[in-house]
Amino acid sequence: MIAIVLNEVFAAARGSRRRARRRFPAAIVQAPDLSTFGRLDFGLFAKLGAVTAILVIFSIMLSDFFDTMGTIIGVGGRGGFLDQRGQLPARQPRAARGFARALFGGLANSSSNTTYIESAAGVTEGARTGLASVVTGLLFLGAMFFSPLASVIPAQATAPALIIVGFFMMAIARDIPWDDYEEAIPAFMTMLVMPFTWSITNGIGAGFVTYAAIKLLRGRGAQLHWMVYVACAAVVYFCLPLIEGAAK
Amino acid sequence: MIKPAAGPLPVGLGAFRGLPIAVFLIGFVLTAWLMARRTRGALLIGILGRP
Repeated sequence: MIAIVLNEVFAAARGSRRRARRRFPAAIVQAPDLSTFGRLDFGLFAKLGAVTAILVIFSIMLSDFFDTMGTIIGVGGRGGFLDQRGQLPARQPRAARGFARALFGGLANSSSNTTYIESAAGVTEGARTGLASVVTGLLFLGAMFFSPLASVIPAQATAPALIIVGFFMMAIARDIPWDDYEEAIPAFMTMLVMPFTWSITNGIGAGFVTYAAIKLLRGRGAQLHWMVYVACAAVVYFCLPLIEGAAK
Repeated sequence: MIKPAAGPLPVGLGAFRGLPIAVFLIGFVLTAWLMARRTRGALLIGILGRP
């Protein structure tokens, strides 16, 4: 509301009221466009070749995977669901549900239905059970018909809320054992790379590689799960073009 | 924060002028104040701007 009022006031002061009015939608209610639902196209394999296509799919999967895991741990920490080791209890397959959502998101031809960091806003306000997600889902379902109204809210109006959410998520950094360099340095790398590259995926990838490298150099490589090595190999593979590009 | 088009640094400070920055600052101060007061729904109120 503040943003809209200020937009109007400033626009009027500049004598460009007509331009400002264009920001308001012509209609408040609009039927959602579902024309892309279920339209699957596997032409990627024919265009790029099987190997390249699989690598592209794998890179998207990797991005989704790291985003989902980072968000689940971050939101779980904010909600107080993590155990003493900073891990989620294994009684519920949250990650599997997240990946299933991503799968069905692809079926709808929408952007990936991964676990978004905005979930932390709900947890910050007290959400602790699946009921909050059901309510959120129902509200989103209703919001589908009011998309012109949602488009009026500018990014600068929602940015403060996301910064506050980031502040709350930062609180779990106090649980990092800062005296244990084997754990702390990868955590620090993760926190450092995320904002500098504008990517949760890059940050978690950097943390994975640093963690594995320190473990290996200290002769403790056997402690790591083999999936960590697979993830590290994938991260390094996809970073090679960046490294080669920077070297030129 | 912005991504500079050129220069050695990956991120930098944006220009602190204009309506979007004013809206952001008002919203941020309002939201932070409500959070500090532990008002329920502070984030939503901060977005909608009706305390």
